[in-house]
Amino acid sequence: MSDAPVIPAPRALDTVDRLRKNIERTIRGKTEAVDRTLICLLAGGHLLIEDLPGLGKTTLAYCLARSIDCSFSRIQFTSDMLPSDIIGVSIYDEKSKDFQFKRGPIFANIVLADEINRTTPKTQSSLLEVMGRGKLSVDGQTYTVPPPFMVIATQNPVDYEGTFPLPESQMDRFLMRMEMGYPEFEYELDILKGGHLHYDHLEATPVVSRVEVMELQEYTRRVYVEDTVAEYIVRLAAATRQQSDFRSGVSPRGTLSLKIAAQACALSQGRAFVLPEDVQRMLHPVFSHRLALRKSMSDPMEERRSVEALLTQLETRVKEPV
Amino acid sequence: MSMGSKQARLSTEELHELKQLMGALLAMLSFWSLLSLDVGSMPILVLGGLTAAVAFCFPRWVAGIPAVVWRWAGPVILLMIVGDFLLHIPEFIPPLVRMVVLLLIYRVLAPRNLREDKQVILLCLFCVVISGVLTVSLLFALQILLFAPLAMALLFVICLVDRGKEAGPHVIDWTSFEWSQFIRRVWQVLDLRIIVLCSAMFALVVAVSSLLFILTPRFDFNRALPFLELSTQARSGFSEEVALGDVSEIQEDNSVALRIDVPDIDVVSAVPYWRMLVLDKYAAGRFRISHSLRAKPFRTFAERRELQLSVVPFSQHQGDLWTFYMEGGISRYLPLPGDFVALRFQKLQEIEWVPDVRVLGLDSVGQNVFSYQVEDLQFNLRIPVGEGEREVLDSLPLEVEEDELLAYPLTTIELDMPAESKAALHEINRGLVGETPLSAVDYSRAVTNYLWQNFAYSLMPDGERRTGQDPVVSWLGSGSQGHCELFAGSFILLAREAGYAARMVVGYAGGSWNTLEDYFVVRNRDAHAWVEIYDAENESWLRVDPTPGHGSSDPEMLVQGSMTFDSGWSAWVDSLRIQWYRRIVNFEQQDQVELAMTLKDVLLDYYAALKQRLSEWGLAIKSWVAAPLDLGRLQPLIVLLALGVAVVAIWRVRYTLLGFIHRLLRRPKALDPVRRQAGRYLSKLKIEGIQSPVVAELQALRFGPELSARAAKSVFSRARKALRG
Repeated sequence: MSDAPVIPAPRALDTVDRLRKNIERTIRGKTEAVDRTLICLLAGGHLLIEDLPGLGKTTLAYCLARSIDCSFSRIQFTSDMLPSDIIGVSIYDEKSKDFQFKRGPIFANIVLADEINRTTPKTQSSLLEVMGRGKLSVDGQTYTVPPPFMVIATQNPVDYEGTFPLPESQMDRFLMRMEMGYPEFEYELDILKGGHLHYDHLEATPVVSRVEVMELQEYTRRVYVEDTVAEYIVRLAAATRQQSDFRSGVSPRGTLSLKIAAQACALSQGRAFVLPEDVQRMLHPVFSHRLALRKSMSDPMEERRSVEALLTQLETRVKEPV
Repeated sequence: MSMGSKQARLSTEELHELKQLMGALLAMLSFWSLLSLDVGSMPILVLGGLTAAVAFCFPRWVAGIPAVVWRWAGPVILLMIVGDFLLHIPEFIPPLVRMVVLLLIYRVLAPRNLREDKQVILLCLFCVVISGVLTVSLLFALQILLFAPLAMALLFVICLVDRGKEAGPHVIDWTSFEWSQFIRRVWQVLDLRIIVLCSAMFALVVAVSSLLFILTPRFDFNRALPFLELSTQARSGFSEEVALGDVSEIQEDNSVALRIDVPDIDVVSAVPYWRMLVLDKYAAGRFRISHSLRAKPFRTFAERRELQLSVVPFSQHQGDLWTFYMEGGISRYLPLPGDFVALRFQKLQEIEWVPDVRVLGLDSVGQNVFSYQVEDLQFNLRIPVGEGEREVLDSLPLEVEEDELLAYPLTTIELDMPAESKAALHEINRGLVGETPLSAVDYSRAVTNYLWQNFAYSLMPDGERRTGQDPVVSWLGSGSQGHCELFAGSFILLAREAGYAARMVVGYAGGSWNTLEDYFVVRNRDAHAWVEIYDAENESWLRVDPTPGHGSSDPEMLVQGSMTFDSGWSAWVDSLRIQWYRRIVNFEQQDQVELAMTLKDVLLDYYAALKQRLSEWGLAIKSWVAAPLDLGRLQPLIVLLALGVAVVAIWRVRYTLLGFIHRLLRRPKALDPVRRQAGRYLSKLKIEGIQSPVVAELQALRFGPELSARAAKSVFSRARKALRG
């Protein structure tokens, strides 16, 4: 049917496993979070982690970056930040008598955008533009960020005072949203024993090359989606649009995101084709942040839980292909 | 079934499962048998049946009941049973049945140890036997036939499980229980020896039951079964001589004397008179059968199975059958209300038949229930005059000398008493009829009216007994109340004095209708004595009942009494007895022989037919083989062979073929057949919960990029293997 070369699924699985094990040396007992992060990486998408401070969001991002043999930068967002603080500025060089562009922290492979909702919409949108296009233009000059490019943004869902919540259109740019959650007792004990307070002390050696990651991303796009599974994805998306409790359904970009996420999920398990289970597994992280309730609730955590419950309902209602 | 040296065995767990399931099966059988008992416990029986069925089909659900329920079930059931018994205090069988049902439900649901398994067998045996004995239905035979092998098998399993050390009920883990797998396991361990042994035991049980079936009608069941024995107490009964007060003595006995299966309730008159004995001779307060009536030529002695009378006009001949069941110890004379076409016994019977007075006696008083059938029975008001009587009776009135050896029918006009008594009778007669002679009917009316006006009915007669005078006449002179013999005796003596022939008849008058099983019941308290007077105008004996409260004062007018109906508990118990009689006592030897002969004939016919069919087939095959080779003859065979080959070939390449058709049709909606088949196997494996490496391959076939049909086939065959386990 297809002339594309066969995907070396076992090799892909081996690579992903190496990466996973390396990260899990540091991030203990968070298999699901690690898996999702990796899936996001394979899918070439951006990740939004919503959770309380101190749960290991930054550590996760750092470990990922260190394991891949690529550059990492961290941006701590504050309300007085300007777009140039992220993108970089052109400054006048006395010697060359010319403006020279000084690259900002965005020019890294893995960018950790901490507390993204603390900054103004202006700054937010500059970041989101880069995320969408993978390039940026300053003073008529276009610069490309180095692939693979992945933004891991975090935000605090509870402390909302003095924040600028991301508008829905911008939420759409993130492939997934996820929570970290508190660690289990024994893992926390582990962390306590060999604990480092700062992630700079973490030892993570690169186990996967940048080239390999880009290869994996290429494979992900070629993972086979059978017709009925594709239909299933579309039916799921359509169901969100018919569900009257949601203000609006997911966009076609959401549908595409679910597909690529499911493909990445399949590949991360060494499979060259998508199963309905992959779609189901990716449904919540991919769709939940793209949906809002018609009657919005005062507590965002509460609202998120309602959305998740509705999604679960929807999942049972839509018949999976057999 | 495996019969190799390596014998498969059921594990202890599986044996326990088998034991539990067989217990539920036994319980279902008992509830079914109790259903036919009809004691108003239908809802609880149905509930029990459903519970047992659920316990049998879905043992996993029952195992899910928490243990705390069983701790409380015991006291609650005990309370329910006690309450049930207290609420229905006079009855005991329905609460008893409900108790058994409740206990069985509890036993079936709760986990059992070995002792409790035996309890289940016992309870079930109780159910089957009680319903069998009380209803005597033919289903009983089937139920006991089912019960026997089941109980034997369960006992066998209990013996296998028993290791001698048993603390409490073995808790069975039903989570992994699968009916199909379980049956397969049981099939594996079934041994030829076990089957042969079980079949032999079962055959033995059946043989013994068949033997019992043949023996039953020839067996004294009244002695064997206690509930039948209850009523077989010694009674005074009717004998050939009745003193004053003898009949009244019988009336004090309330037990049943006679049960009659009647073709239709409307055929029985409201107050039927069941004649048993005719007493013609009177002397000193005693009525008896005269010597001449006891011997030839009046009485004929014979050994018969059937007695023809055929005095009933042909127009009334309908073939209705009346079946009489007379209790033992009543009398050797059979109750017969009147004429009939034929009378049949169950076997050859020595009888004494007095055709002129229509009295039929056996050679002795039976101790058991005696049954006989009468065809087209009539309730006669008049008995036609017999050939032996006609000559004497036509020449009435006659003067007769008192003589002990006087011949019948002269005994019916004899007046053996002192002259003083005769004078007293004459005095009364003169006041009643005057000088002009009356017809028998008018005379009866006059005497009955006289007796009714002057005397009242009572079981305690009064009046003083004057020495030297006849006891009946002295009652007529001084009494004011008396029993039926006194009324009948007075009537007879008065009639004889006036020149009419009259005789006493004893038997039963009346009875009641059992509404539960629709039959007529005559009790000993219905014993009665009445009169037959010779009516010269009609040349017949006319029945007159001079006792107040029984008949009408006008002998020609039939009483429009109402029949009494029996219902309620005692009637129900009584109806059980007639069911027993109908099926067991009345079952004739001849019928059994006929049944056996029919069975034999049928078997022989089948055998002959089978033999012929086989020989025909043999001949056909032989001629086909012997015929010369002929292509035309082989043609259908070749076509069939070709068809078979084609079907097999198509079957082998079916996926490729279907895929080709699919591509040909290019239906976007339709699923590629390989994918569809893979999907089917996947969902089957998922339902069965089977983990197998073939699942991944099937998933690749179903959702992955297209593969060749050849590769698919091998995956499918592995999937089938995985499904088979």
